[in-house]
Order: sequence, then C-alpha cells, then structure tokens
Amino acid sequence: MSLRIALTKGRLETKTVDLLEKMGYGVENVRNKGRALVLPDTRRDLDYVLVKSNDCITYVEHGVADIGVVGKDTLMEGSDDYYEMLDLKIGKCCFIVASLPDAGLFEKKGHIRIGTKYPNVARKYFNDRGLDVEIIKIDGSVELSPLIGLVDGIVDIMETGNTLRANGLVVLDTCADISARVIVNKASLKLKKQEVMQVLSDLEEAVAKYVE
Amino acid sequence: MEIRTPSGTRDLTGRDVRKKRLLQKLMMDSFEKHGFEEVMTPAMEYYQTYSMAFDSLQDRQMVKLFDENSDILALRLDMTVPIARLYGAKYQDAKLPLRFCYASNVYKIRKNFAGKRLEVMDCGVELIGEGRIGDLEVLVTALDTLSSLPIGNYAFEIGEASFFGRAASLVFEDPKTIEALGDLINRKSLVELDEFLSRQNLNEKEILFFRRLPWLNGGAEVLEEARKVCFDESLQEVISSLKELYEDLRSLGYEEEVRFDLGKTPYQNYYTGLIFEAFADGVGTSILSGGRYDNLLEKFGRPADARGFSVKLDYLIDLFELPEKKETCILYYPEGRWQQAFSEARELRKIMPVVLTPWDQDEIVKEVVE
Repeated sequence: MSLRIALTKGRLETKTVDLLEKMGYGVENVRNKGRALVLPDTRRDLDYVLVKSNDCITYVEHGVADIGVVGKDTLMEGSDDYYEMLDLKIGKCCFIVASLPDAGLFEKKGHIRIGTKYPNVARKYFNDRGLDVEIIKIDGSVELSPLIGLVDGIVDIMETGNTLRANGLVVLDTCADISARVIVNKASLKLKKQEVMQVLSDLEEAVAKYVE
Repeated sequence: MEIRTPSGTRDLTGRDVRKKRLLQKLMMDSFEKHGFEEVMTPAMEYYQTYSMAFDSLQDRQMVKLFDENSDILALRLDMTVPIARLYGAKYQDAKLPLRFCYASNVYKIRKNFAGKRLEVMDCGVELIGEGRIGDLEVLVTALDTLSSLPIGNYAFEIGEASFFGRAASLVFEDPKTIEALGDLINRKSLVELDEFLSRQNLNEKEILFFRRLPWLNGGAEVLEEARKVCFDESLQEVISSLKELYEDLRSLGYEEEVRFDLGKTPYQNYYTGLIFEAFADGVGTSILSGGRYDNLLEKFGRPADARGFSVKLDYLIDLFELPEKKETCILYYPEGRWQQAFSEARELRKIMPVVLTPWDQDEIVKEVVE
C-alpha cells in the first residue's frame, strides 16, 4: 500500500528534503518540482505533496495524506486529531513573550493586550498564569504592534532574535520550544502500520545520525 | 437571511440517500438479530442532563437552545446519555439485562471549514447489566455488524481503559496530572510524553511502562509484550483478563478480525474497562467506537454495568457503490387517457416503481429504466 507524505513548504522544506535524501529516499521530484503538485518518490512506493503548514494538519486529519511534517508552532495553534510521533529536531526555534523594556507586562493591573499570529497559544500561556489577557490577531510583522502602541506585548516565534533586538524589544519569557514534528493519521497507523513504521524508523535513524 | 444549510450540515439526495438507508437497514437488522430493541429519544435534552453525565463537559461543542421557561436545552451529543436518562426514568424496576439500539442524528460543533460535520447519524447499541459476558456479546455484535457492511478493508482494535487507569493511579495522585498524561498517550504525542515523564518523579520501570504504552498496538502478541513492562501485579491481571477475552473471541472464530491497542486511554474517565474502535480504508478517523462505562448509570439513579458502541454512518457512504441497480418504469400517457394510465400503473407497482409522465402522443408507452 502506498503512502502519501505532506511536507510543509517554506522554512522547513529544504531541511526536511535533505533529511529524506540522506535516508536514501528518492526526492528528485520534490527538488525539481516545476508545477506538479503530487510528487512521486523515485525509489520508494510513496509520494509527496508540498503544502502550507495549516493545510498539512488538515490533509493528515482527513487521511488523504498518511504522514505530515509540520512545525510544532502550527500544531500548538491548530487542532489535535492525529498522532504526533516524532521530533525531527530541525527548524528549531521557540515561542517567546516580548515587549518594550519598560512595559511592565506581568505587573500590569487590569488586562494585558497581546499581539500575535498565534491567538490560541498566547491565550493559553496567559490563562495558565491567571492573567487577564486580550488577544489581538496580527497577520504581518507582529513586532510592529507594540512599537506603535497597539498592544502591551507580543507572543511570537523567535529564531535568532535579531528582529526583536533591532526594534528594541526584550524577551520576557519562553513559552515553548518548537521544532519540526512528524504527525500520522490515526487510521493510517492502523491500516498501513508496517509502511508507516518503516518511514518513522528511517526518519528516527536519520535524526540520530545527521541532526543530533 | 441566507438560503442555505447551516455550516457543518448537508442535504442528501438520490443515490446518497439510498446508500445511507441501505447502511442503516443493514446495521439495524444486525442489531435486531443480536437481540437489541430500537429506541427513539428527542433530538434535544436539557443541558443539565449532559452536565450531570460528564465530569468536565466540553460544553462549547454543544448546540444550545432555550425553552419557554428559559431552561437551557442542548441537541444531543451522543445517544448513550439520552439512553442513560431513559433508563433512569423508565426502567428503574426493569429486569436486567436491557438491550437497546438506535439510529439517530447526533450533534457536535466543529471547527469551521475543517470539513467536519455538525450533524451525523449514529447507529449503535447499549447493553445494560450482564457483567463480563456482556462485553463479549457487544464485541461480537460489533464485529458481526461490521462484517455485514459493504465497506472493504477495516481494522478493529481492542484496548482496556483500566490498564492505563490503574498504572496512573499507582504513581500519581492528582487527577489533572493523570488526565494530561492520558491525553498524551491517547494522541501518541511521543515528544511531549517524553518531556512530561522526565519532569515526574518516577522510577525506570514506571517510565518504561508509560513510554511503551503508545506502541503497544498490533496482534495478540502485544499482550505478551505488555506483560514485560507491567510494574505491578494488578497490571498483569488486566493483561490476563484481556488475554482471556482474546481466547474467548478466538474460540468463536474472531481471532483474525481483532487487534489490540493498549495505548487507548478513556476520554474524560467515561470508559471504565473495555474500550474499542474500528478504522476503515478511506476514512481518516475511527468509524466505530465503544466501550464499557460503569459509572454513568448511577448518576441517573440506578447503578449498573453497561457497554455499547456506535458507528458513524455518514462516514461510510463514500466507501461503496450501490450493489444492485434499481429498475423503474416510466409510464408515458396522453392526458386524455389518464384513467387507464393510473390503473395500469397501480397494477405495475406490485412489481416495480412507476413514474407517471404525460406526453403529447396518442399511445401509452412503458419504458423500464435503471
């Protein structure tokens, strides 16, 4: 039975494809994809689709892709009707809370206004700490929102911290570490167990050998 | 006001209706053959009925309404709770066991635009009383029913809620910790599971047990594998009783059809023992789920052991084509001869459906179409 793997486009794409290549999988079609959307592996009985991160979860939950590679940030923000079985330890970054140095975010009486692309993650972080929070969803550069006075602070992912520093924002706390995760459709693990487990163990081996 | 169906609901027409009715008939026939009697309950219940049934009700998933006294009503989330209420109200003195079955729409609010449905038909059974042999009876009913459906390849998995439950209560006291751990294991969220376990004060054997749980799925050999990681006598007992159940199923000829997954943990402590699910090729989520729930009925006035399962019928519609073609007669007639046409149609309807169709020619013509 053939498998379909959904890979997340963008930040994680090259790193994931490199890993698959080192495992001996035939990823030529993914590297030279042109306009094709479904990309067969040249060596194994499986194919790849390249999708946006949120769609990766959707395709896997519906079972049209058996396996997905997607960032933990997307998983934390979205739904959870899948098995999350492996940490690829690539694309590492973290969720942080940041603000201008003198904002006094956690000392603030009354409610805190937070700008973020990840409203669920942000709400959970503040609610867990018993803080009254109002979330404002920002789609573009989140760092801008505290600078021009829309919000008191932000919750965002941080890789290097350069953008934050350049804009005079300071990190107040780290909410969670993020990296690429492998998710598996629930029915696929039952009905194509051998095939799925093969890919998982190949990936696990590659992570141990090349990433760690 | 927009003229369309609410989000998450749909109209069914033509072949889809026939396919759904066929599935429903096959299932209800099977339930009836196994001695279950159909019940129908109102589509809505008092919200309180549900909040009484569940310790931590996901109440945002419920469609809520108000009645004329401003009491909160809720469209039923499942059929088990309405049947528990029915049992409490009308079967207080009835002799056990009781066998109920149903084919009813249930309602759960889903995330917008995720392609999931608000309204689906649940077909299932509940067996109240009857102890351990009742578990076997319901398993057999589920397996027989699945094999009577035209749905191709499927996998049937058995687990045991108390395997995780006992182990967790041996090492943790806080129910919140247990719930969080159960959730990680159930979702096979292996990365967080490792992090979680490393934060707890556990010995090596205990850590190994919880780490292995999500992997303990497959044929009957996983029961032996599970034995090796048990860190307490009471856990061995759970495995022994599952092994017995497997032997019972085997002696009845069902061994090829069942697998085990010991990494199933009970949702909201609802299930107390046996827990099972089925998955089919072509559906991303489970098509059948059920288990044993011994704590629900006492909340409705009369404690009893109980178990049941339900099949999400709507998920199965796309898995098969209608087996036989249906013959229909189109009867064309000139309007002046309607009386003759109507009486010929009446005769013909004894053998097949007839569609009366007036036309501008002089004769009556019958055409059989598929």
